[in-house]
Amino acid sequence: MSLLELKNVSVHYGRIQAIHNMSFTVEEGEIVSLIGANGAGKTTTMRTVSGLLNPSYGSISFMGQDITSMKAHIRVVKGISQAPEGRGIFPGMTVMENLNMGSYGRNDSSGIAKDLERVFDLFPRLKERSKQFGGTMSGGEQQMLAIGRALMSNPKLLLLDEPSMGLAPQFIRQIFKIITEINDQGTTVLLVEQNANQALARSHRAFVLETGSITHRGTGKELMANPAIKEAYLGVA
Amino acid sequence: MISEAIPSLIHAVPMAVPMDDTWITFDVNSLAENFWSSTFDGLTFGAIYALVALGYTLVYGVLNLINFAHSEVFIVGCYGVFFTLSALNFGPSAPHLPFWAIVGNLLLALVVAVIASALTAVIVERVAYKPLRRRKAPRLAFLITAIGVSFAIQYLIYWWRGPSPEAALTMFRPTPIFDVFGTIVDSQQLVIIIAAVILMVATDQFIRRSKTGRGIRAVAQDPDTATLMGVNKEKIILTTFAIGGLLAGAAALFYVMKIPSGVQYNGGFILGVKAFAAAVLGGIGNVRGALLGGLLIGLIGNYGQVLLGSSQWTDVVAFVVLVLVLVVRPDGILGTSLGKSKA
Ligand SMILES: Nc1ncnc2c1ncn2[C@@H]1O[C@H](COP(=O)(O)OP(=O)(O)OP(=O)(O)O)[C@@H](O)[C@H]1O
Ligand SMILES: [Mg+2]
Repeated sequence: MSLLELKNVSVHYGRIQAIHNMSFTVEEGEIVSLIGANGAGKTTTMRTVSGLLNPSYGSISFMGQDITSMKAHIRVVKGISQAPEGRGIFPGMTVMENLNMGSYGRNDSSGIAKDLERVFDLFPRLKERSKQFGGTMSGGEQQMLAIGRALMSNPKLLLLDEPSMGLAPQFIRQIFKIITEINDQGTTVLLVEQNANQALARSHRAFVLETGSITHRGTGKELMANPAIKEAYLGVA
Repeated sequence: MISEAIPSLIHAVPMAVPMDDTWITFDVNSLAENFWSSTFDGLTFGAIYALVALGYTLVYGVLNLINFAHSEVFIVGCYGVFFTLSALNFGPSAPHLPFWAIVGNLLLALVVAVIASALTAVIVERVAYKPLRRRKAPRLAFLITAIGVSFAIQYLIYWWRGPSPEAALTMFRPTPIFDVFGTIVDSQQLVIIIAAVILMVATDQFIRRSKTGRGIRAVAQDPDTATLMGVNKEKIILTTFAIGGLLAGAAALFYVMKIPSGVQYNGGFILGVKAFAAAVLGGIGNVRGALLGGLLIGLIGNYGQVLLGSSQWTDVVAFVVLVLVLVVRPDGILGTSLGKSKA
């Protein structure tokens, strides 16, 4: 049984179809990447998995349960957590309050305390800045906060939508290292990235998305070796 | 829309006689003489405006919607007070009851008013706004619906109770409590101001510290991300309407206490406009802004009335000040929204 399975999923914005008949699985313990150009439908796919968007056709299942019509806030409790594109930090809340929002759906205070410790271990900067307002954090710090906050629901599946967006190269390497670390601790990761080099190098498997359809799939290594992908996404002439 | 039958918020402040040949007279002496009494009375009205303003501001915060039906949420609370106290044999003159019996009766009226108003607010949200949200209706559709609901409730009450105000109800005779700079502060003013301050502080702390309060702020700042945190947005919206209604119900008790003949089908209109103005003055979407705005609108109206020598000027002065403030600070005095306001 796959942790996540999308079957023939189509998503529309009004009359515009953004995702065409998409099927893929994410297995427990994996890092799976979705790469593709701007407007390919990566964010749409993520928002469909987290439940902010509803598919017009097809079905989604999580841990064997059909969640196609499950409300987004309940999916969080079930174990799907998303750090959204653009980070989605609550600017008027402190770092601590933002992290507390991540555990909004939980009541197990000892578990929450443990996860807070885990987040502070991964991102010591967040602990130092716990009283600072989210809106005044730097872009990189906000990205750490977004990931840390997503971990506060203790997810089985972590959705990361372009965690490297707008960050300096050195910071990007650090973020990818941490993503691998999170995965090593047992959290499955579905990752959307423009930074295909790093993403493919760190992923077990990956899909390439073009105008709403999956055009290539394979292990990270396979896709990195594919000449068409090299040319289109890896900046290799 | 403003009928001549609206009970005006004429405040019982001694007035100077204006000169006949001038259109506007500034009676600075009168303001100096009546400064403290205007202040206490203005704070009393301001506290009522502030409680109603909170309802406008909270709903605006989470939905970016000006809930014009909030004035009717308030007036339904006034009817709750009226029917409860009528049933308890209150009438035009103050009842001859022991102190604790009066307290008990007023608390009962408070509970009924709070429930009536909160229920009205929740029903309005479910029947009028939620279906629009589900259809992703444009902002204008919400606005027109809000105005429509406001009229619908007014005329429902009109149809049921007729055009004239309900019989006046006096809850208790105001007795002097203490003396500030030669001005008597009476028990009625004191009860209203203290109770309102308690409710305001409780609301502010609830929004800041409770988990639901955090959910409300999260939805106000970014509804989609709030949902991704596990917040049930629909439940938060409903809760927000309920809190606004609850505060309007409490305001209704104080309003009827202050203006015993104010219960009328369209009696919420002017008060609603002033409370809305208060919310805008303080910074709409901002809880502390609503409190500040309410108190200021109450005070400014009273000072203006005394300065200009006529109660007709109360509302005019308040709105002139509102416009002037908005020219300087378009986002209101405290600015920023419920979402963006710090913590
Ligand atoms: N709210 C919306 N309404 C209408 N069309 C939308 C909406 N959001 C996205 N789209 C369209 O759906 C398509 C896929 O968008 P999506 O945001 O999923 O792309 P993406 O792969 O995440 O791109 P990027 O790399 O730029 O983030 C695009 O053509 C976009 O214009
Ligand atoms: Mg995107």
